[in-house]
Amino acid sequence: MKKKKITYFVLAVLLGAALLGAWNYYNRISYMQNALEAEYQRSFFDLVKHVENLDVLLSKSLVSSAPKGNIITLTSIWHEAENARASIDQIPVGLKLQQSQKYFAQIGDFAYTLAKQNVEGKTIDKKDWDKLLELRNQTRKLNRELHELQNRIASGRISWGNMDKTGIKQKISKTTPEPMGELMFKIDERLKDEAPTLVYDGPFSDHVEQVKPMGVTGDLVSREEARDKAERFIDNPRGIDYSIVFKGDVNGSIPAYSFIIKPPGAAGDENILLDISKKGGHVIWYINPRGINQPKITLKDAIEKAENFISSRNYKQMVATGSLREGDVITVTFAHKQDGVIIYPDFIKVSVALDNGEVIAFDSQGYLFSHRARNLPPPKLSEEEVRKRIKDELKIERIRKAVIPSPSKKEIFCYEVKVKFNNEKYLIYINAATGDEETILQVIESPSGTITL
Amino acid sequence: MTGNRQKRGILYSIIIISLSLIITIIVMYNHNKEISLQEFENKGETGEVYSPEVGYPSSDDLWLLARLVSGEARGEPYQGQVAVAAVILNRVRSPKFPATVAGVIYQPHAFESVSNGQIWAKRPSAENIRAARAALNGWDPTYGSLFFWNPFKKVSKWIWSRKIVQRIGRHVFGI
Repeated sequence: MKKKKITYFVLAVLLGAALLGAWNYYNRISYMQNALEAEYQRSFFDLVKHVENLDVLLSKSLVSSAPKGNIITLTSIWHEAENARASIDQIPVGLKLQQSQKYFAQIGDFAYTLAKQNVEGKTIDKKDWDKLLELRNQTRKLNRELHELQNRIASGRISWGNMDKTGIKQKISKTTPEPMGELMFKIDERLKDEAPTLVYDGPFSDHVEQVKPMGVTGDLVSREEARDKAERFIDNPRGIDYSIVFKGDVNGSIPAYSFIIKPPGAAGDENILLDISKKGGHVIWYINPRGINQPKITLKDAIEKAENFISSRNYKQMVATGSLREGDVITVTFAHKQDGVIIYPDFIKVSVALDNGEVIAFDSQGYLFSHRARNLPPPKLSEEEVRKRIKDELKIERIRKAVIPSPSKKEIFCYEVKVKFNNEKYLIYINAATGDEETILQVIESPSGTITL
Repeated sequence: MTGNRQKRGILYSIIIISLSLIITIIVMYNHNKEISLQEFENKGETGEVYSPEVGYPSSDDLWLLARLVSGEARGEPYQGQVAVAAVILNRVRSPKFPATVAGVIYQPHAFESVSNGQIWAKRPSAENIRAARAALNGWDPTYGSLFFWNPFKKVSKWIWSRKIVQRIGRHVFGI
């Protein structure tokens, strides 16, 4: 009898403990869910606020006739658009709201570009004003829609609620609509159709996505021709008897064949991958993932190996513009040189293993995208005039001519002025036609010794 | 008899309690064992190179990127690991995604390994770090892809509406 009593007692205690544990667990989960829901609500309510502000600011930019005041309005638009972007990133369906994200990114970028033009003394022209009007009208519509959603949330009719119980993946594939998510997707779909196309001088301009590779020249090559070219292209100082297998077609910005190049007997972790363009049979990139043994060659020799490699692969008129050593690999960047001008957009990267000087990685996407013969008009500024524009505190180490890419992938013909300030080095780019300072880069050198090319 | 049994019961509970304590301590210790940043800070020597992007991911992002590569592309070929890291950086540059590496990686529901904690489960291997670094230095075998997924796993229908660019290892990469 006593035994039984003890058993019951123990069972009761266990049950009690289990219930207590479950209750505690449940409490914690609902606490966390509420915390998460609060995060999502905050992001959404913030988003609504930022869109409301954008509506007002865009309207002001339309009626402003004072260029200086407009600079402030335009930079405020940039600021609010970035805020809206940050809010939308944090709502649970943000991953699928790509058009909305792009919409805010573009408004901000566009307003920033216009503000910059205003600073340079250019007022907003008719074309840009029309775009601002279009954006204002679209934002006003968006503002109304979001407010409506906000009211429905506030009255408790919809919520982000159980977005997190099962994860977004199931939610998306389910046929029953997830209220808040579905309503947001609807807005996103509408923006896809209705948002204006924006072409301007900024990184998110619509023309940037449509850039076509200009350096991919020549006739279509067959898969067999491409295979032979690939086999001849890779660096093989160890004389390995590779077997080369077609992996598949690549449907990216440069249509290509993809090959796997296998060393005999390896387990697969030393397979080289290589993509070669269908048009012209240009090797786009290859990566050999092999491990590197004890370094034996000097950095200078490695750079020379890289130079020999690209010139033997028929890339002429290339100069080394930079190098980066990481572990036992050095990566050298080369740029094309035309009439003594460095063309930075036409770049190629070559990685050399420091154990035997083998080229273990190659990439020519930059070159293939932008290379062509350029029309370089004689600079309006002389080197002497450029020299005068540099502050007296800076010591000029070198001046040379270069073409650099603008944020919107346009090209700018500049003087590249390398200066020393205290112990820091900078590259200042002065527009060869207008004398404007286009950009400044700091040259980072590590104390373990620097290679300056 | 009962006294003996009670004693034994006490002994067992002591053993069980101490065992669970030890296990708890081990688990907690492992949890707190973090990788020192120094492991990642093996910065290279740098020559001058033109890199015009403002806000271009810095080497501070290396650590987080290597974590994600470890969580998402463990067991993939090296090139596939570089590709996964490249997708993150392509998103950072895209107007359709957050503008920082942390923003992209921690975007709600963006990555399985962040949702299920795999990103913190294991240390990134030397290869993961090398792959993340290659991507930071501009290697992109995916031609600007913004998505990757494993076609053998259950994924949302929506993801299949993306245009597939390239397949590396078990992942497909798409825009």
